[in-house]
Amino acid sequence: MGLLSLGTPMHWSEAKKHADHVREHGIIQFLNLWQVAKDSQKDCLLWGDEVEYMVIAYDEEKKNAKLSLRVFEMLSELSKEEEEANKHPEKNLEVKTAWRPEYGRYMLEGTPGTPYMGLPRDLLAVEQNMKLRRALAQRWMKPHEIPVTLTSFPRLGCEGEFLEPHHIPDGAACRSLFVPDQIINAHVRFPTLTANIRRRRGSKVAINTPIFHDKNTPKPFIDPTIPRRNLFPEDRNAIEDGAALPDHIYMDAMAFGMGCSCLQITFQAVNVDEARKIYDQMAPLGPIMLALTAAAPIYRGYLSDVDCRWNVIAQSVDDRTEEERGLKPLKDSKFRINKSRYDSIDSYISNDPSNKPEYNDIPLVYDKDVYKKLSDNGIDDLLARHIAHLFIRDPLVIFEELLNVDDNESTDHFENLQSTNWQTMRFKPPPSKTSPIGWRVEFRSMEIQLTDFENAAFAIFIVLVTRAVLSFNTNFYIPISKVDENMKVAQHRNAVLGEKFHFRKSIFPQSRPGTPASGTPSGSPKLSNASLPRATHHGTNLSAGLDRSDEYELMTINEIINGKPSTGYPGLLGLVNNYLNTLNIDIETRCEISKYLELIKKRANGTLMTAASWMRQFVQNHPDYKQDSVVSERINYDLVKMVEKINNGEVIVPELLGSFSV
Amino acid sequence: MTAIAQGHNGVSNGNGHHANGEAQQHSVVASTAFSHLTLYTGNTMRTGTTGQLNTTLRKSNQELVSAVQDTLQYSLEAARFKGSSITITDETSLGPLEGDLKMFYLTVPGSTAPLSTEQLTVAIQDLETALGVSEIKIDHFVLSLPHQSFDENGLDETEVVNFSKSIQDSVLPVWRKLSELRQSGRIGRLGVAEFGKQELEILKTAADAQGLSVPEINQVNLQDCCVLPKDLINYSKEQKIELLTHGDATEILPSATFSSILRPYLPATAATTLAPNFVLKYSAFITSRGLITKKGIEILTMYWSQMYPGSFESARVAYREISVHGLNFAMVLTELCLNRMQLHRRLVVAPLFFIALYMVWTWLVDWIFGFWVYEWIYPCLISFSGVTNFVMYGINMLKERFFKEEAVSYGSPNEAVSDGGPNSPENQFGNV
Repeated sequence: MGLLSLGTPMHWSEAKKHADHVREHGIIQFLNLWQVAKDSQKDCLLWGDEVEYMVIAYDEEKKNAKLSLRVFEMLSELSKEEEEANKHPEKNLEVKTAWRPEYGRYMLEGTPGTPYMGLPRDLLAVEQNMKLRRALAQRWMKPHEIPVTLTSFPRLGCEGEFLEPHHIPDGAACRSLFVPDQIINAHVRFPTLTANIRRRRGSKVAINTPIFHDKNTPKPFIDPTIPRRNLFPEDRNAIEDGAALPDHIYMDAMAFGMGCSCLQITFQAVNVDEARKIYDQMAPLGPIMLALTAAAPIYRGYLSDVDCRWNVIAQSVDDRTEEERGLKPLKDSKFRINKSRYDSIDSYISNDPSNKPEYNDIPLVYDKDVYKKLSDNGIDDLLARHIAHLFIRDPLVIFEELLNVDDNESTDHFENLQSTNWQTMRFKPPPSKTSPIGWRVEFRSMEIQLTDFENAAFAIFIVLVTRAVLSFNTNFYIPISKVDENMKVAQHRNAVLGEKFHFRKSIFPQSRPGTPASGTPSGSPKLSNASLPRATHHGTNLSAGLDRSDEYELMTINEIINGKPSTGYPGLLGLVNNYLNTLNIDIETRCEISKYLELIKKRANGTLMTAASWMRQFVQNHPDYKQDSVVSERINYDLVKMVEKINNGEVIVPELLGSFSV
Repeated sequence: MTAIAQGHNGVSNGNGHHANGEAQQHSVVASTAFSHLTLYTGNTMRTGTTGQLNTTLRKSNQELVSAVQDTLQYSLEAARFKGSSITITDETSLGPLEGDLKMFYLTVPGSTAPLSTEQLTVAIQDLETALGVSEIKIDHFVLSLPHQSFDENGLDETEVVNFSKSIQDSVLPVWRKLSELRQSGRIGRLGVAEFGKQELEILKTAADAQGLSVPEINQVNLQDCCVLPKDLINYSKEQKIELLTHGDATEILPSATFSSILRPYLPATAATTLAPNFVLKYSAFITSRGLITKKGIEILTMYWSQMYPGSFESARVAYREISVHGLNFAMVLTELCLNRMQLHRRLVVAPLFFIALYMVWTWLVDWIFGFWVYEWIYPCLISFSGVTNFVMYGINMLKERFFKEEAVSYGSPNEAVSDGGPNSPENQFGNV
C-alpha cells in the first residue's frame, strides 16, 4: 500500500487546489528519476510475494468469527526484526519477514524480508517463508485469534457483531450504513483517503454485486438488512436515491473493497525495456489468473453471483465525478473516464516490435499537458501516454508539510498518483535515484488462497511464466479491449470451468527473429546473410494488415493453462515445463516444483475446485443454510474454523487440494 | 596399391555423380560429394521449438527433430563447404556464453567399439567454433552413453559383468580425456546420464583405479525422478553426486529418424546412408536471472558412414580396417589385371560384378550385425588369399600349357590380348 508518510492531511476542498501542483511536480520528479535510472542495468532476478492476512477473533460462546482490530499491537511486535536490522546495518542481520499495515485495521501484509533470487531451488523457499510468516503472526496473537488468508470476509458489514471490539457504524469518514470508521487503518492517510474519495465523487461509493439466486432467495431480491438512518446527508443514497440495486448485494464503503486480501507478485527486471516487456506480456494473463484463483464468493453475508473481488474493489474506490462517469455533460471535470482508479490496465507500453499499434485499441484518456512535458523531455510515446494516463487522476491525500519538496530528491508526488492507480499490472520505477532497486513490475490480479501451499504454487507459477516468457520470447498480445472483456468474464461464477477467454493462438514468433530480443546478448555478423531468404519466406505473415482478429480465439482456462494439442499451443504450463526441462535442476527441486504445477493443472482442468467454488459448496451444504443465499454467523464461524483446520492439516479436503499436503 | 586408392575414389565419385544426377530436384547439399555433415541448429529457445513441445511426453527427441528440420528448412542456403565437409549452421544461435553441454554418443546397437575420443575433440572444437570462443569452459558436461537407460530394478550379475566390460573397453578412453578436461578446469562438473547406483559404482571404481575424475552428476529422466530408488539417492548424497533431471529420449536420434528428416534435402540413397555419430546439446543459463538464453543442438554425421564408420579410434585402425577390404579389392583386381589368360570382355565384367556383390555383402552384414570387419579375417584373409592367388596363378599356367589352342580360339585377336605379358593388360585396364 505504499509508504506511509506522517503529516497533516488536507481536506478534499483544500487538496483539490493543489492537485495541479502535485501533478506538475510529480512529472518533474519522474523525469529526474528517469534521467538517472533509464539506463540502469541489474543482472539479477529478484522477486517477492505479498500475502495479506485477516486476523480473526473467535467468540466461542456465541459461535461467531469476527475480525480483530488489534492488528497494530501485533505489527509493532512483528516489525521489530526489520527495525532492529535497519537500526544496526553494520550487523548485517538477516531479515526473514517484513510487515506492513493495510487498509483494514484487521489486516496484515507480510512479505519476505529479503527478495527471492532467480535460481530454481530458491523457489522452494517461498512456501517455507509463507509458513514462517503465518507462524510469526500467530505468535503475537491471543489464543482466540488466528490469521487467515480469505479474500473477502463473508460477514463484513452485516447486522450483528463482525468486529472485535464491536463498534456501531456511524463514522464520519466513510459514512457507511454497514461499517464503522474504526475498521479503517488508524493511520491518518486512510480515513482521509476514504473521505476524499467520497468528497471528490460527490457521493458515497456504491458497490452493487449481483446476488446468487438460490431456491429460496426472493425474486426480485430487495435486501431487507439495509438500515434506514438519518445521520449523514448520504444516508438517503441507498434506498431513496436508488443506489442499492435490486437483485444485488449493496455495499457503501471503501472497506468492502480495500478490505479484501490478495496475492501480489513483484519482479525486478534487468532494465526498463525488460520491465515494459514483462508488463505487456503478463497483462493478458491478469484475467486468466483472476478466474483461476477465484476465492471471493460471499459479500456482506450473502452468496453472490461472482467469484472474484475485482469489481467490488473497483467500485469501492471509484472517485470519479458524475461528469467523469458520463452521467452529466463535462463542465468542471476535465475528462470523461471509463474506469475506476482500480481496474485493468488501459494500454500496452513495450517498444518491442511485436507490440503492434492495433493492440492498444482502447481510446486512451490522458493528460495532454503531462504528455507534452514528457515527450519534450525525451520519453517515448508509449511510456509518455502511460504516465499521462495515470496522471488524469487527482491526488487524493496531500500532506501539508510535504507539499513542497526537493524534486531532485523526493518522488513523493509521483508516487502519490502512481500508487493510487490500482491496476492489474503496475510498472514501477526505482523508488529513488540512489536506491539499489531497479525497474519492477507488479502482477496484481490474483486472489489470495486459503493455504500457504496454494499461495506458493501460484506465486511460483507466475514467476516461472515470466522466466519462460523471456526465455522463449513469447507473444501474448491481444487487443487490450479483449483483455477487458476477459476481465469481466473472469469474475463470473465458476468462470474457470464455464467461461471462455480471448487468447492468442500463436504465442511464438511467426517469423524467426532477425534480431535477438532485448536482454539477450549477441547476434552475428553473418545474420543478414542467413536471414534474408527467411524474411522473404515469411514475408506474407509480417504485414497481415490491421485486422488482428484472426490472431486470437476463445479458449477455456483449461486450454490456456494446459494447452490445446489441436493447434499446437502448449499452454502456460507446457511453456513452464519446457523451460524447466531445459534447466539442469536437481531432482528434489524438480519434484517439489512439480507438486505446485500439478495443483495449477488440476485447478485449470476442473479436477480440483477453486476456493470460491469450495466455499460455495461449504455454505450450501451447511445445515444452517436455508437456500436463501444468506451466510449466517454460524455458517461463517464454521467456514473460518474449517479453513483454520485445513491450514493445520487437521482436515483433508481432496476436492480443493487433492492429495497435496499443505 | 594404386588400385586401392583408385577403387576408393571410384566408389565415391560414382556416387557423387549419382547425387549430381538428382541435384536438380533436391538441393545444394547433393551437388557435391562429401564425407562429413555437421549441422548446428538455432537457438531453440528463441525459435519456438522448445516452447511448443508437447510436455506429456516425458522422454522425447521431438525438440531435436524439429530443430533439425527447422535448420534444414531455413539455413540450407547458408551451408558451407570445406573439402569434403559440409557445415550447416543456423545463424540465430551464435554468441559466446558459457553453459552446459550434453554429448550423446550414437553407435549401432551391439557395437563394442570404444567411444571415439576424436569425436569428443571434434565436438568441443565445433562448439567453440559455433560460439566464437576459444578454450571454452563448460559448466556441466554430461556424457550420454549409447542405449543407456535407467533400470530401477538394478543390474543382475551378468549385466554387471557386461557393464564393467563396456566401461573398461569402450567408455574409459573417452572418460580419460574428459577427466583431463575436468582436471584442467575446462569442465566444471562432469557426469553421466541414466545411471543406476551399481553403474555409478562401476564407473567410479574404474575411474579411481586409473586416477581419473569420478562422476559428479547423474541425469535421470523426469518420469523416474520422483520415484528414484532410495539406494541411488543415498549413494548420490554420500558421493556428492548431483541428481539432475532431463527430458531426452533414450535413443535421441535413430538413423531411421535422421534419414527421414534428411530425405527432402538429399538424394534418397545419401539420406539413408548417413548415420549420425553424435549429438551435442548446449544450453546456457543466466543463473542470477533464471533465464535460458541459448540452446543449440549440433549433430555431426558422416556421409558413407556405413563404409567408413565414424567410430574409428585412430588413423591406424581406419587404415587397417579399410585395408582389409582394400586387400580384397587388390586381389580381385590382380586377378583381373595379371591374368595370364587371354582376356575376354566377359572376363573383365565378371570380376567387377563380384566386386559389387562383395560390397553389397559387407554392407548388409554391417547393417544387420553392426560390424563390418571380422576379427578372423586378418590372418585368414592374408594367408588364404595369398595362397589362393598362387594356386590360381598356377592353375592359369597349367591351363595355358594344356589348353592353349582352346584358349586362343576363344575370341578374335582384336578383342583379346594375345601376348599375355604382365604389362600389356595394365596398359589396357589400368584405369579400371
